[in-house]
This record gives sequence, structure tokens and C-alpha cells, in this order.
Amino acid sequence: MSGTKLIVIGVAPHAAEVAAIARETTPERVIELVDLIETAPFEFDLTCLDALDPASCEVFLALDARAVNFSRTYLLSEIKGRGLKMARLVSSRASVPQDLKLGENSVIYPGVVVMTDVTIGYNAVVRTGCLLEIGCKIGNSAYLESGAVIGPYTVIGDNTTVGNRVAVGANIKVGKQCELLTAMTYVNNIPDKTFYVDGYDGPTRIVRF
Amino acid sequence: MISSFDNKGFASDDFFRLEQERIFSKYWIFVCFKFMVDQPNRFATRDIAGVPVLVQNIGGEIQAFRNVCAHRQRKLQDEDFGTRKMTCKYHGWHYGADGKLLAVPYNDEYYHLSQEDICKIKLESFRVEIVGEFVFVNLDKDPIAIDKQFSQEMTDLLKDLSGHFNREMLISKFSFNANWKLVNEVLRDNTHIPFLHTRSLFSQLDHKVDPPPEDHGQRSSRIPDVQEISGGGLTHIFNDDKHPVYADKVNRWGDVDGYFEWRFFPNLHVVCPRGGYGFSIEYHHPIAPDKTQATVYMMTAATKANIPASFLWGQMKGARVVLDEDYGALEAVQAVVGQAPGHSVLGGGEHEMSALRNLIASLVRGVR
Repeated sequence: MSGTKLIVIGVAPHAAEVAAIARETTPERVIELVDLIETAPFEFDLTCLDALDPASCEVFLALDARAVNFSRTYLLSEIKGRGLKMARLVSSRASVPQDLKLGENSVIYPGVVVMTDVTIGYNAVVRTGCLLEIGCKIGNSAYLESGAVIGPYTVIGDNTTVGNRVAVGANIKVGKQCELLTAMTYVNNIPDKTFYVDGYDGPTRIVRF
Repeated sequence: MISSFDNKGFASDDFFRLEQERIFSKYWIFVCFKFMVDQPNRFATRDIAGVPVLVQNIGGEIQAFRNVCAHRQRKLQDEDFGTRKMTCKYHGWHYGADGKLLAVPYNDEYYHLSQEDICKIKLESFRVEIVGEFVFVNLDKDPIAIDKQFSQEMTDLLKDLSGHFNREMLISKFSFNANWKLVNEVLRDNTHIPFLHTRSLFSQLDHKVDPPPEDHGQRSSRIPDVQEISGGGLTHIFNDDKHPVYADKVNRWGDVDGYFEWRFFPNLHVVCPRGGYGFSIEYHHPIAPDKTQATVYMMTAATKANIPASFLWGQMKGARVVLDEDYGALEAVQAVVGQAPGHSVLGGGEHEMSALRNLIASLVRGVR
């Protein structure tokens, strides 16, 4: 798809970072950065999409981790609904095997090391310095902060954020919509909607009774 | 006006022990919501005045026990809530209705307890009262009636509010280094808002300070009834038309766009942070004279459509900003309050705080 233009739509600084990765990786490609205007919390002005021709461009939606990616999921469906193709971006300075399965609108930052037999869903962000061990699966809209280590055959659920310098052990199942932000090694399975954040006594959980 | 107890009441081990014995062991204490224990084998646990308390659904009935196996004193349930029979994880002793011992593994081979012995063994039980969805437990063998602790108006309110609770709930715990009474006091004071919450609450509220009531001088020395101490607190009507992003997905409580909160003596705080679209229930557990643990239960009003978990968690993080502003100030008070003897000087408008201190002082001294 390098013959088509790449439109990076998003909010600074994340969008600028993603555009820089794209420029570095495919210097010959035309890359445009379009600011996405947040008109109200979780609401965006999508008129910037109107001028885009699905035949001549690919789009990458680059938002930060706000709202545990809910906004990104919503916007992604809006973009796809207009027939626009979504890009996948892997930094040329990341170490990634041939067999990586990478979903659309996902980005791998510089310095990431991915081992073999790894799957990364759509709309995921893997930031600088992450290590993804053999056979691990990263869910849709997951967000791996810098330096996160995901152990062999571990599963990270959809819409889950793994924080800076967090390690998740081998064969662990981390649920959907979690935040693992306390820097430590997680060695037990973690249910959906569980939040480990400094300053709390143990995890905060959302439970349906 | 001078406070009715010495500042050491916020830091003294003796005063704390008396509070545990004469307040927390004598009054109805919130443990969990009924929907957390509404199915057989569901349970919730809570430490009250140093006593590990277990609320367990046994065959459809909600009962409360000391959460300790009669055999070798292990806790029967470890988690804050869950679904599990009352079976000790240590040696498998199993309990049933009314805390009666039902089964002892290896009894024939090893323990040799007679059937008569087994029939006599039961868990210590406590009284339970359920108000709407709120489950209260009282450790006292002869507890006061709950309607002596909370007025009809307040129990009706609990029923009304809890009828709007969604069954998906955020549960969060955090500790801070301040006495539990300081938390109770900051909830009775809105003059701190422009100073502590300059960038958070103050910017969102049409903040005003009501003049003190005319009878404050008379009230300041009076010891109030326990019932009087529970009641509505700060009410602020918002000066904007903002609603939570999930507003159209819930059946809200009431129809006023404001902040409402109520205090239930001794340590329960119920908040409608934004116009009845959601609720925050805060339980303040006294751990030590200088340490309190808050458990925050947060839920939206009953939903008409699915709401992503991120909204509740986002709301919790927003609330935490305000709570940390409060607790930061309380920790600064706690750092020095017990060091110098003396009594705080309270102003005339602080009659509610004065009444609370009078009540606690009278309960601790055994005056009532």
C-alpha cells in the first residue's frame, strides 16, 4: 500500500509520534497529519474525513490511551464505515518476526522486540521498549506502555492497558478493560475490569452482581 | 466555642479503643449491598471494631457471623466478597444455617467428636438489618433498634436511592493517615471548598456558604440524639448543563442537576455526585487512631443500555482527585493534632461538627 497516501488522523503528541514512525519506515510515501478536534468529551469533529478518497489513501487513527481506548474504538468504526482502509505500522527500528499477526490500525514503536508466534489485534499500541515473548496474544485496542514485558503464551484482553515497566508472567490471562499500571510482575490471572493503580489498597474492580 | 473533647481524641490509642467498644461495637455498621449476597453461598466480609464479620447467604437467608472457624481459628472466607460455601480452607470444617457445624472431615478416624458435641458447635452470630439494598450488622448482643440510629426519613432515603442502583459496581479501597472523625468533620464543612478544591469541585459548583443558624449557641453545648447526627449535607446546584456522557443510558434518581450527599453515623457517606445519574457510597473504616481506610462503591443509576467500564473508572479517578485533596489536608492535621493537648476552637456555624463531637464524647465516656 506504499503507493497510496497515508493520512494520520489524531491528537498530538501521539499522532505526531505515529506520523514520525510512518515517515521513518516508508520515507518515499506521502504522509499527512490531520488534527482531530475534540468538540466535547468523547465527541470528535469528523468532517476531516469527508475529503478522503478511499481509493487513494490509507488512514491511521492515532489517539492516546484516553478512556481505555473506547473513543478509539468508536472512531475506528466511523472511519471504516466510510470505506477507508486502515493502515498497520511497524517501526523500522523494532525487531519483529515474519510470522507476526498484526491487526489493522495497530502500531509498533521503535525498540520493541517481538518473538515468534505472536498475535496483536486491531487498534493496539505497543510503545517503545516493549518485549512480547513467544506465543503471546495482545487483544484489540490494547495499549502497552513503554517497557512492558508480556510473558510467553500470555493473553492480554481487549481494551486493556499495561503500564510502564510492568511485567506479566508466562501463561497468564489478563481480562478485558483492565489497567495494570502498578509497576510489578503480575503472576496470576486477572479478571475483566480490574485496575491496578498506585495509591489504592489492592486492585479496584468493576463487578456485575 | 470550644470542642467537647481534647485534641488527643484524634490520636490517642485509649480513645480509639473506647470508640471501637462503645460506638462501632454498639451501632449498626454497613457491610455490603443486598445484591452482593442475594444468591445462596454468596458472601461479603468486613472488619468491624477488630471483629472479622462475614455476611453469608445460606439457603436464601442472609445471616452474619464471626468470620472465624471454631476449630483452629482460620478465617472462613478470605475475600471481600464472592460465592463460596462456609467451609474452612484449613481442615474442611463445614458450617450451615445459623452457623451450625455440619461436617467435620476425618471425625470418625481422628477427631472423635460426638454428635452431641458437633451440635453444640456454632459460629458466633450477629444481627442483620437490611434497609433497601444496604445490609447493616450490629455486634451487640442486645442491639439498639435501627430506627433509633437512623430516622424514618433517612431509612426511606436509603430505600429510595438503592432502588435506582445499577448492579454493576466499582469497588475500590485506599488508606490515608488520618483519624476517622476528621473525615466525618470534613463532610460537615463546606468552607474548605474554595481552599482545598480550588481547581476541582470549586470550579464546578455554584459555591456559597450558608449563614450559621440563629440557635447555634444553644445547640453547641447540647448532646444530640444519635438519629440527629445522620442527615443530608452539602447540596450544590450546578451552574452548567453538563451531564455524564452516559446520562441518556440510565434511569436517573430525581431530576435536579446538583451534588447531593448524606451522612449515616458513624461512618457511611452516600453521594449523588452529579444529578442522580450515579452514586458513590463511601465507607470509612477506622484502622488505627491515625489511619483510616476508605472503601468506595461506585455505580451508575440503573442502566437502559450497556456502559463501558471506562466511564465508571474515569469517574472514580475524578472523585479521587477531590478525595485526595481532602485527605491530604486531613493528614496534615493528623500529623500535629495529638502532639499538643488542648481543644479546637470552633465557630458558631460549625454547630454540626460540635454536635458530632459532643455525641462521640458522650458515647466514649459512657454518658449514654
